Amino acid sequence: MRTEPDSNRNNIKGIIGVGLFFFLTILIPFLKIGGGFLWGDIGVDDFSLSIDLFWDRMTGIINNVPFNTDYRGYDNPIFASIGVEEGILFIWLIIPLWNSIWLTLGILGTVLLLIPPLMNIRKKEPIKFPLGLIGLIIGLVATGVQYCLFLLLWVLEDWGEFSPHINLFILGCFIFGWILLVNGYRYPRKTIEKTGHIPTEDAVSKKDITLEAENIYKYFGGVKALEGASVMVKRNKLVSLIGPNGCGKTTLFNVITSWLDKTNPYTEKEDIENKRQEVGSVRFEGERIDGLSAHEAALTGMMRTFQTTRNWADLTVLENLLVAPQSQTGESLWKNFIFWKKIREDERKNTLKALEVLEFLEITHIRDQVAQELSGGQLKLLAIARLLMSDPRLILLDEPMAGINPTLGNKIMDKIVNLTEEATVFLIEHNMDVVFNYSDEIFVMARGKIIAQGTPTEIESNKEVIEAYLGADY
Amino acid sequence: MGTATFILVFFIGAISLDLEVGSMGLPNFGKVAFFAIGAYISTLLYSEYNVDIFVSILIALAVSGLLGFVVAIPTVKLRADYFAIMTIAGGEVIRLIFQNEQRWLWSTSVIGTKSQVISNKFRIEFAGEFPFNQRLNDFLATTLDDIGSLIEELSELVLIPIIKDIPLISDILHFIKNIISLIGSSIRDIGGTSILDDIGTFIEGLSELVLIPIIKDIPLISDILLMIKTIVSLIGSSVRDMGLVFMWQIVILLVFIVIALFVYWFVQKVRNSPYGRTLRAIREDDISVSSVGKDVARFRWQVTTLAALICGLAGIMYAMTFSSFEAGEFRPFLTFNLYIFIIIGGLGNSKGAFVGTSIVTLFLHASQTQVVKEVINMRLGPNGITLPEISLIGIDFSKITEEFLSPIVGPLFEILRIDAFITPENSAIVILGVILLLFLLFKPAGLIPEKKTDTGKYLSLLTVKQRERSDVAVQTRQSLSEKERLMKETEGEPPPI
Repeated sequence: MRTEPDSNRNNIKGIIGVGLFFFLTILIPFLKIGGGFLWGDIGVDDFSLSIDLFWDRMTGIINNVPFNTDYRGYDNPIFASIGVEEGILFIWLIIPLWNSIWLTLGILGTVLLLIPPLMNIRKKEPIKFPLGLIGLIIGLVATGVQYCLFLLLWVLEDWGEFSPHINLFILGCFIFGWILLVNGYRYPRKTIEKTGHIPTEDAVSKKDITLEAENIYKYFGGVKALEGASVMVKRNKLVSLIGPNGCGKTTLFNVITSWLDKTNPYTEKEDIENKRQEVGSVRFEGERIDGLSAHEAALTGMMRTFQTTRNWADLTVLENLLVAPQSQTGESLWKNFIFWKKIREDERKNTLKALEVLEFLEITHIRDQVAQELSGGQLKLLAIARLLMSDPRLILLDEPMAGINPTLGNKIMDKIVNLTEEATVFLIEHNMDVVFNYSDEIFVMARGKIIAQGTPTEIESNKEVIEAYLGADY
Repeated sequence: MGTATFILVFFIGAISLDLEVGSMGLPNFGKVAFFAIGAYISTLLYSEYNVDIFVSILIALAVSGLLGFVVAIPTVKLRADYFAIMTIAGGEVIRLIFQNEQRWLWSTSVIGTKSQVISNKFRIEFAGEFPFNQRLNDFLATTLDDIGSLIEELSELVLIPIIKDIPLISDILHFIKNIISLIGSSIRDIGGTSILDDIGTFIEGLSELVLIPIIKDIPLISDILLMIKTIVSLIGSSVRDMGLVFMWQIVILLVFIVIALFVYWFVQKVRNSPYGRTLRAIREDDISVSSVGKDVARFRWQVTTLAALICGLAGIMYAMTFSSFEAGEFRPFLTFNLYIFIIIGGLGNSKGAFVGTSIVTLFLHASQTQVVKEVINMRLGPNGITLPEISLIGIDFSKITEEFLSPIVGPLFEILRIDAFITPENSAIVILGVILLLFLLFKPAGLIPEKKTDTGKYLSLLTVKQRERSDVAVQTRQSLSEKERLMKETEGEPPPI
């Protein structure tokens, strides 16, 4: 039932990134040496010759070790001042030496980068720390130094065809690689750790908590939407979140489902210690889901609806439901051309499931209609149906009763209560009848904080809640 | 002939744009860049650096795909408008690089200096090789000659050695042999004359027959008859001209048709697959696609890369039709041409792309011909708007335009000096612009709008029993489970419908 985030894919991406890095660091030096397009005038032999000369020079540094002055004779006043021959040798040695350093660094970096993905690919665990970034930094530094050196050489003598443009190109390659690794093809920045350590007093009670959002702060510049909000949702229960408009309910939902990142509330410069630490956490079934992107959070089994129903207008109702299931084989471009049978099988199963879901929500008769033609109530039901296609374990509903007449509302709520057998439902609502009749537990929010929580009877008599609702000045 | 190849090339380009804009909602305005890359790299590698032609084509494809990927990565998470701006920038950058990078991207002319004009050596060589350098007439002549003589020789085989001496059978065999060799020699004779010439002249002659003696003087009908006659004689003369076509042009056309069919099949397969379905969902609302657990960015860069690859292919084909070209030809105008094709033809489907491309290209090419230019110029010019003298249902339209519209339009032309930019040369483009506006206003989906999916496609995967309940529900417009529930609640009362 549950679909796990495909962290193996990240490992593969890591290996591809490494391959790119390897290509750039190992092969680029061969492109760079000398003038000309590919190999240029200097080949592998010059490498070894230069290294030999270099070692000779190092050992015979005091002695006058004779060397080949004809080797690319240059005419340059600057060289004349430091001794032409030495000048040439110095420069020509530095290049291959630097290149060999580069080569060494490149090989080292590649090895470093390759180990974690290869180790993890069997365990299907995500990478623990951004080695890719480290490797790239090594490459960038090496390139930077190379570039400066060549710039110097270019100033000192006229190399004609060969120019620092090539170095710019290499720099560009590295920047591109950096964009690649950082912009979504990366190892996940925050890892999903399993909470090995369970605090002692809460050991028993925390077992039935499915969603735990602890101490969440969210600031939009000057607007403080959430100020240390914490919710704990128990498994297989219907939990409501209520509060006056603008108190941060939808923002809390957005942070929980990773549509927004939580912020660190310590904005003052003096709070340097606190600024560095992470404040607040979101845990789903014991695992932290803070750093995931929105779609990855959805893949962990957490589905949500939106305050204004969003649907795919041009698609029929059946198609709307068929897009919803996760990790379909048919969603990979090339697999469509190879795994025909499997895709057909998946489509068949999904269509059956779609029909079941439609039956459950009693909207089978709109199966062939285009979503554009549906009424508001039907659209709401469609949004819930879409959500059910992926068998979620946690369902977050943002104002499901908005704009629905009471009869249909009760019908929908009966269905939603049915869902709690297999999943947990966490909903935001303003309709107090619905909230007090159907919820197992209620959280009350005001001004970005949770001010009360408990069963409906407890909340009804809570003074603070009454104050918040009657005294709210929004 | 040239028009046909152009249509095919731009059809492939239009499909690649339609995949992005129509199916995905990503407006890419830098398409011309990938066109240029495909064209440049494939010809340069062969002409300048003497890389084998197939390898250079593969490299060109790979580079355009790679660059599509490079463009996609930073822009994939941007909003549609900013993506569009970025792609314009990308396109212009690539064009400028091609125009100015002398060391590697300019071709060396005979004298040894570098020139901006790239000559397509492959095309020149291909056109020069036998048998491709013959005209169709000659080719038909020689092949028919060969076929004819072959048949004549084969006719000898009929005379099977031993049997042929038996009296009665030998007569029959000889008879058969004569018939076959007669067929052979007549084929040779056909080859001797130029068939296409004859057929063409024949059709032209037919066109005269259209002007039926008495009827042709009735005013309105005479115009129509005249039009038909012109069309028929045009067909005739183009058949005649076909004979002058070179064989390599025909080969290129056939190859292009095959490639276009393949691309069409490929793109259709993608569009009809679950992948295509998710693309359409992303086009409608990408936030909800993310919230059901799909990585929208992945779909975006994959589509952009694929579209860039297909466009690179179109660029390669474009280059193959010319013996030389230069970078200045790949201006953004080409991208906007593609947009016009798919807007008029229909967004979101390949058939629409084809229809749009063919109609608009035909129109643009036809408007280059002298005849059409005169017609357009006649109707819209400093003299105002003139219409042919038709009296329809008693109203003389030409008089109306002369008396009412022309006095306004005519001086308007002079005051605003409109004839400075609406010249006979570009009045076709002006008309195209007006047509485009009309389409956007009244028929934004284009001539062939995107087909609504038939849910039967999915339901046919199920057995009759499995879909029975839902089919009944659709027919009765009420879900069966609702019906049952209501029946249970009201205990026997008939359920409301």
